[in-house]
Amino acid sequence: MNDQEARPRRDDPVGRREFLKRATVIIAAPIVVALGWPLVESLFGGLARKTEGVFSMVSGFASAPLGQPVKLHFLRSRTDLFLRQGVVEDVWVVKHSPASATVFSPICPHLGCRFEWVPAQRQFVCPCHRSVFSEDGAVLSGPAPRPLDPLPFRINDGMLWVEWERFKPGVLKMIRVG
Amino acid sequence: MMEPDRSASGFRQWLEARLPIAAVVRWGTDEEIPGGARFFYTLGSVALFLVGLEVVTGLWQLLYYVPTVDHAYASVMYLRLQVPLGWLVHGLHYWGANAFIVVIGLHAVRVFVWGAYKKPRELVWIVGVVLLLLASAASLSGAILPWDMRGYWAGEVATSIAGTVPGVGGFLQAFLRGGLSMGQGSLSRSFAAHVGFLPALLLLFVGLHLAAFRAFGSAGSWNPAGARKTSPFWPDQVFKDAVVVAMVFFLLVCLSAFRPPPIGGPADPLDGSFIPKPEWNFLFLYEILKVFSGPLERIGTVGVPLALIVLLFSAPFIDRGEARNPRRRPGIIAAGLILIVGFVVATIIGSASAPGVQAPPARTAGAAAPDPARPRPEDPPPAAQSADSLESGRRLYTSAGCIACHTFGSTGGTIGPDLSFEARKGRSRLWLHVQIAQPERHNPTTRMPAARGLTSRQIDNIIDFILHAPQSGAAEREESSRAPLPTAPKGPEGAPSTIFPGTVRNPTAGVRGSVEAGLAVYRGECAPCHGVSGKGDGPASLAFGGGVKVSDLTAPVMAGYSDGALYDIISGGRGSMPAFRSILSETQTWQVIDYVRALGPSPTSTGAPAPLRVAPDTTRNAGPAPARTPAAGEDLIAASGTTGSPAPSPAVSTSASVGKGEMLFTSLGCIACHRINGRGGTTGPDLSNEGQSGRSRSWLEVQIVRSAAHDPGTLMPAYPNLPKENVDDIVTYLLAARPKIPTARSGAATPYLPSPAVDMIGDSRRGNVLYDMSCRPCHGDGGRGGVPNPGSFAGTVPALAPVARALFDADPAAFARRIDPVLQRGSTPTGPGPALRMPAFGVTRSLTQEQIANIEAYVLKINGVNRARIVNPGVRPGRFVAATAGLFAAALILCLVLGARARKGAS
Repeated sequence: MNDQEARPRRDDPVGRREFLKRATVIIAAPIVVALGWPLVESLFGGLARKTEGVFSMVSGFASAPLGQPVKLHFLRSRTDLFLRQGVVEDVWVVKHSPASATVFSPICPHLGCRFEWVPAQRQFVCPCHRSVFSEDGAVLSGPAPRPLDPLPFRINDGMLWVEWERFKPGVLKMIRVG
Repeated sequence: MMEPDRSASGFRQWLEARLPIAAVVRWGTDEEIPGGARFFYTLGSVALFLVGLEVVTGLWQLLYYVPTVDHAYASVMYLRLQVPLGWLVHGLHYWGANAFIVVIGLHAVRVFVWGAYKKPRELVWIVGVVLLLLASAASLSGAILPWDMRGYWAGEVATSIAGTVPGVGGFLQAFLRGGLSMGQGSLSRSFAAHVGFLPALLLLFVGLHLAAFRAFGSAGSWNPAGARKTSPFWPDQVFKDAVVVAMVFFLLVCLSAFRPPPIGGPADPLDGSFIPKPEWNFLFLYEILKVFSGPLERIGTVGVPLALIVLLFSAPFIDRGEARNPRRRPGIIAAGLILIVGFVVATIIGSASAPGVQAPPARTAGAAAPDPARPRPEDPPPAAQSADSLESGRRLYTSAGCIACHTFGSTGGTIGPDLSFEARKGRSRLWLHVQIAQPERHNPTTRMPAARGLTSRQIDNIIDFILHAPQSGAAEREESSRAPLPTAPKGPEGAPSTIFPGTVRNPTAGVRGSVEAGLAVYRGECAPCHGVSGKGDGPASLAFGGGVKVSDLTAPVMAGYSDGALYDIISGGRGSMPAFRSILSETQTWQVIDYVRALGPSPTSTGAPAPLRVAPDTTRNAGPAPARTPAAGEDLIAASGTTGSPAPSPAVSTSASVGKGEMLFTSLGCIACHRINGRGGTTGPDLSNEGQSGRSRSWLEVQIVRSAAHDPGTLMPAYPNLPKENVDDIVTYLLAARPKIPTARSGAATPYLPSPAVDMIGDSRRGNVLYDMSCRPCHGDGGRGGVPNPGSFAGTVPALAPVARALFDADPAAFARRIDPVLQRGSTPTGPGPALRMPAFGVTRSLTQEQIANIEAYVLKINGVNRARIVNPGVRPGRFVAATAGLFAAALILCLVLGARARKGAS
């Protein structure tokens, strides 16, 4: 590091050196911005993307009893980044007629437990915090802030198709989270 | 040395006392460059910048990439198409890696010309050579990671080359692959090497290189007089470095935006039709490899690269003189120039040349390196393909049985590859000769039998035929709609007979059995429109709703057509009538003409109808069937005399009989030519629907035992010695056969789970190759359709460009989802008896899911949709380039303003 003394400052005006130093920084700045931009964007962008609504066919609807809540299963294709996987989900279905029904998410709107149907009382009861719901989903008692979450569905040719959705638990409003 | 800068702020003083930042910066920047700063000296700094760029973009890719064979490709495509600005991160990494190799190559050339590797800098040079080798290794291992077609085969070939190293080759190959064949082990090892071992070594050697550079200082100008004047590294040289780095970076952004890394298509080890070719930086080795063959192969695979590496390492020790001025060491400069020019020329030749051999590389450990090493001798002069040779080759192609497995033009099996476009594949005659005589030399596990008993001359004739024969296939139809069949009667100098239709003699006129054979063809191909009676009242004609007039073949006007004119109409089509060139053989066409003559007035006796007696017929066409009873021979009685009882006798239609029939259908080889439910060849008609064809048991029995009775020119061999009960079983099986594959139409009712192909981003160029092999015969060149499909209401196979509106979608994923079921499950066109059905390529595993994905990408492309469209770009590539250009322009203006003020201040 003894070149400190050897540095010839006398033949070059200080103005030129200073200019070169500043110009180097100015030229480097766009590189930092144009490179930092994709790095930040690819890191944070697209985190909040929701999956598109896809209807999945629910098996067992045709043979389901009328006016009696039943838990039916269906295979849903879940896309997780680049992975597509089949996931089995269940829903509570109240069949009113071969062409009409009510479909509830099986997740309690209180804190996300899975509730059950108690036939003797004709009520949905959540085992976690004793939220009790009527056959049409209304809160009868317990801490649940809102009625059971209905899911979008279609009935075509006697077949039930359901769109799987999840909602934020513990709040009054139905806020979709996935 | 470490004393803090007194003018600095309190915090900086505090920091300086604890961390020697200023010292490190000074170590990196304080340097006198003898002869002054130069743009020539910026290459090292650019290389350093690129190392940093590769590290950062590489780390960012790890946020999405997974190194498993089943998800690697999908994860890379997700990064490229779905992550905002992921396309740029990936593109910068890809182009940055290429630029890195270019830059360190140029840097090495610069150092060589300046003689900057001379004492005491020899080891700095050697460390630099190590860096070049590490970069090459990183480029190769990185190419494997997307697990696409290019990466997979690059790995396959590179590890095969390693396998040729004498002594340890087999071990080395298995070690690099992490197993005996390419697979998860290979991907994991490439991954570990690319993101772990190699970067660690690279950074270590970059550090060594830099430290040595700093220790010995810049070599500077070779001119001692010029070297007396010096200028400081910071800021003089760094400013020039920054300018070049900025330009390189902007170039990389432009390349990433406008020339994105190629979409390789998912890796498919089963797709042997892929022609691997190395990345540009290995093309020179690939070209050199072609020089060496046989026992010398190892010289090309191991010897030459090793010699080059040794040469690079020893350069500073060979060039030991004091002088650095290139003019004073002409010998070494000339030698270096030859090497550099050789590298550039070999790379250019390599990038332009077609691979010598297309055989898939052997997949077993210790196998010899594939294609590049094989010789490619000059083709003999064109005089070799005389008309005689072509004709002889054509006959041999049929008689030697090639046709049973290979389609040429429009006929042939599909067990082997379609040979229609062999001439375009760039294979040498020698390669084809070896493939015919000893196919196992190209692929040890091939199913193709060696053509024993053929002379070398005969093989040459077959090659002439394959390479030079005009063909009647779908592809050629567009180009020359009037081209004769390869077997069409030739006029003078082989001119097509169709030029002189009136002078053509019908070769089957008056031949015994010809009219009856014509009837059989007519029923299948003509009756749907023209009706069994020839009155133009067939079931398909009703579907036209009167919009199209179907000719009455019994009308007196027919007498005005010569046989040659009718041949032209049938084979070439006319108006709404499709061309039957690719469906009917020449003989069949003449037989149909004989039958049509028997229906109506003959060309000589205008007016008076031929003596035809209409006999009742209960075939599916349910119309009165003509039968020329007075002249009918025993063949006709056997053929159509029993059509009154088409239903199989219940006594023999047991399931046991069906099962036996199915076994016989396979073991006797019927399946080699006939397809049932997606399995079997296509030389003969598809028999999937034979149960509904209305043919009688006895007709089928005659067809099997004495096929020539129905068609004297048939390709089908007769089985006269087959026991009667076996014939019965086969017939029972044929009549019981029903199409089992759900068609797209019937499948639409049931929920369709997406196939793996739907989620794969295919490569449209691979898809184009596969399309030409599997789809073009029916869907036409470039998917433009027009290929006749008699018996379907549409009359032709649907065009794919443009595709039916119901299938189209501007969103690539949705478009792929819509056409996928058709490729997977096939479809049957509506109509009374379509001759062509879309096979179920996916369900029958005729094509792999990867191949289907590639074909889907091609179908999208010919409809103007890019399968690899960036779904979520963050910022569109063009806009990003514009924004970056704006930033640099602003920086430039700022510099100019600053420069002007500095100049003013100085004066």
